Amino acid sequence: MRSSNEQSPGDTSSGFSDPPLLVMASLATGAKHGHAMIRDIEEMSGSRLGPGTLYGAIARLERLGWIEALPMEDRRRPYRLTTAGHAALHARMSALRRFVSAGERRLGLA
Amino acid sequence: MRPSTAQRLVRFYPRAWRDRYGDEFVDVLEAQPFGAGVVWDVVRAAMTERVLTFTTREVRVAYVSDLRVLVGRPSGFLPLLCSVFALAVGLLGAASTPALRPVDEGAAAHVFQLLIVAQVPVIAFFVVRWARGRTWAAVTVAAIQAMAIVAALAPVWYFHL
Repeated sequence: MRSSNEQSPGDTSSGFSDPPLLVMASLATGAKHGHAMIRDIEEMSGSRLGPGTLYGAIARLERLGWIEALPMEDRRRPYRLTTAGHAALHARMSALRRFVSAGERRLGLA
Repeated sequence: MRPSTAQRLVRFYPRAWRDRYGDEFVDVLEAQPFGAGVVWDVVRAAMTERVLTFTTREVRVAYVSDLRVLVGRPSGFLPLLCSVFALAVGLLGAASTPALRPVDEGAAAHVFQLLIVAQVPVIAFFVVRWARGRTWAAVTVAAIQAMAIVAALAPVWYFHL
């Protein structure tokens, strides 16, 4: 019998989950506020971030100086990537690309 | 989610975090359907923020300062003293030879009961008076008061007094 925690190999419903990376990837296409980020991240990765998780990532990235807040629009505050954030996202994507390549080679997919 | 529910959820976060992100966060919360998943997500994130905030030196210093103030208040230290006396009464009762113990509840037992029961309204007053302004220090002192009561009751339970 399968435990409830088990996932079938083809099941990708849980999506990719690294909230700070997802937020930075979402902001790579331009400034967005919280609602827009949740929708964009869901379309991009299949992961629907909860509001607490989203703002935990936003606060952490802001502390790191990788994103910055823009002036409020009504009650919504857009955020955008900083130059340091662009560099960090680029470095992280390069590392992920190397990891994916190595994984595909090991699986005989590449 | 209703605005009042969103406002309540935001209160789980530290004050500094609320001042910075509160308005926009409430706006995002109001667009979410209310459910256990969202509540859990917010509470978990809020607790993480509280832990992160607590690691800053200013907050630790303020917490220790609040603790000192609250322990110095009569409603802070009197219940602790009562528990210490009750523990002493309990241990003395346990140390006395069984033949000398009164068959019915004696004076020592009544003193013990008074020392325990008298604390309850004092602790209730302490929590009501201080939980709002100095929450974490008040929770800490109330927890110590509760543990002191348990410690005072332990000999009664252990020695079947």
